[in-house]
Amino acid sequence: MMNPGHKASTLRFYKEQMLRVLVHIQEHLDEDLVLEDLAKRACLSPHHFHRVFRGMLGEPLAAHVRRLRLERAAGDLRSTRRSVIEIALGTGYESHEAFSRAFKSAFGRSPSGFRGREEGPVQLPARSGVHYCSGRPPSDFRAVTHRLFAMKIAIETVAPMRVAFVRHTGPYDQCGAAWDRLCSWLGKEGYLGAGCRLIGVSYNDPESTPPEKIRYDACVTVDASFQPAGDIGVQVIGGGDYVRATHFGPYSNLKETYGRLMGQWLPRSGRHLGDAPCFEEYVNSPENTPPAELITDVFVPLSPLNSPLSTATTKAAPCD
Amino acid sequence: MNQEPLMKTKPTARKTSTKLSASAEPAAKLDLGKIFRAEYLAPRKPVVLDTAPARYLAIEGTGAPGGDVFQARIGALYSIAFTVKMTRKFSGEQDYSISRLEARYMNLNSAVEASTPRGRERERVDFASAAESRLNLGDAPLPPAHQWRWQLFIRTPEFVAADELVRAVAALRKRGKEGEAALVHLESIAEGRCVQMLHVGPYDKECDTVATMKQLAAARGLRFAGPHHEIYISDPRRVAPAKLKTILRFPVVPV
Repeated sequence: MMNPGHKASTLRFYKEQMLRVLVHIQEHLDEDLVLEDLAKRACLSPHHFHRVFRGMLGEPLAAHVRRLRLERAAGDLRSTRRSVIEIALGTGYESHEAFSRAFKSAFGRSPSGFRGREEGPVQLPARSGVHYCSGRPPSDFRAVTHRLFAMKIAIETVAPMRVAFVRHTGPYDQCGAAWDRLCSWLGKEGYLGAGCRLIGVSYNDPESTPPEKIRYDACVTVDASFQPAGDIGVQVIGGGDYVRATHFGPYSNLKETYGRLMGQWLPRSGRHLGDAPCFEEYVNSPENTPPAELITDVFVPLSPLNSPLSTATTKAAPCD
Repeated sequence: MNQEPLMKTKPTARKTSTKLSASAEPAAKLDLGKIFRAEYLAPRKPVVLDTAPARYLAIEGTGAPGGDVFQARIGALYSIAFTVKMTRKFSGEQDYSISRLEARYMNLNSAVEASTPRGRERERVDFASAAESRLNLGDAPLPPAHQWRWQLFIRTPEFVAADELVRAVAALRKRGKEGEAALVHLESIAEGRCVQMLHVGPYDKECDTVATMKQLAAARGLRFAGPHHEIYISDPRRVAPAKLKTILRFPVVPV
């Protein structure tokens, strides 16, 4: 078992990694902030980084960056004489209209209306407490606290599973074609007997990856006698420690479960992420289950105990 | 009510053309649960409704619900359901959704039991297990759970033919996955007029719901005339007993 001190140091480790990213974001708001680059600064693989970020900060990366740019714009409207269009372009909007629309929906007032009045905060609500502050990058943030009561979480060693799979590249919610192809082929061949497990491997976080680049494998467990055939491949997944959480409800809310697991549970767990991709096991079938009754087990890989990474302590390990 | 193997087809899924698929344009996916929506009402208060005769993939057995025999037969039923469906899908035939798992308990409802009294056997009923069982109509003790006779079934389009089941069993046998799949057969069930109600909670607390249904039947001049029928909405392996949703149905006839 982990001792509490170890858990505290893990939380500190993840907070420091995120803080580096937050500082970088504040100092480079004028630039394109590329996920891969930010993930590297956090010493995490891109597919894990965004889920940790979202879970700890309580908002997706893109929303965070947008919010900070809008806060900076609000401050500039009040404290400088720069024109609205100049501020709009500096905020990353291509037109005055788009900027005004976004600004109004965030602050409840148009940019010029906002400029004309001295009252009202220049900050937008944020659970993390991180706001834009000129020349003063954040030195701390409130990691979103546990709201894990609704989740059943367990660490388990997952035995390697041999699976037949069909790869899907494109929007996550269009992976049905890969499932159709896989299951109709396996079905007519007699592989869909009792005890098959249905697993989805997501190589990217759908929230931070352009839809057309999302890679996803639809997988069904098979025994050693199965041989790959055409577009039906074979691979082995699992094999190592994973943390498992059960997600109840529609697939569209899976990101919430990933966020809680990786952003809230993980930093307080005393464990570190492994390199393998996350996977999902579909416990019941959307064929005959209403969305609210769907059950999905989410598996997030952990690096082995006593590995160099899992003993990383107070100081954030240097990248590269 | 183990639903395995649990096949997944995302809601956006539509027929994909495969190399071997027939040239005809695939028709829209058939969903019997939607077509016969009026028969699958899950009201919090009992209702009387009419059901049409329907075809099912079915398998029978004896034993405690949720026990080994029960789970193995559910596995066999789903093996056939998915193998038949996916084989059709592969060859480009009409696609359809697998319907929900349902069950009928054949020897719980004394009103529809064979009229021969069970004599000594009835006296040996374990009242402790009867108390925890799902149906107590107050007019007869229940058999102990391991003696329950049940039929598990999944509604299936009329076009599914018996020889498709035979081929599915053969395909599964080839992969060592036959299990008890050969026991699955096609069956037509006609329940006609029924009382139906949603039960929320553990299976062993169904008696109150059944009593409410029976009251409605009596108020309408009807009586229960067929076995206790359950349609499963929740997965009892993972859903807390207090949150389980089950549609209860009883065929009724005029008193």
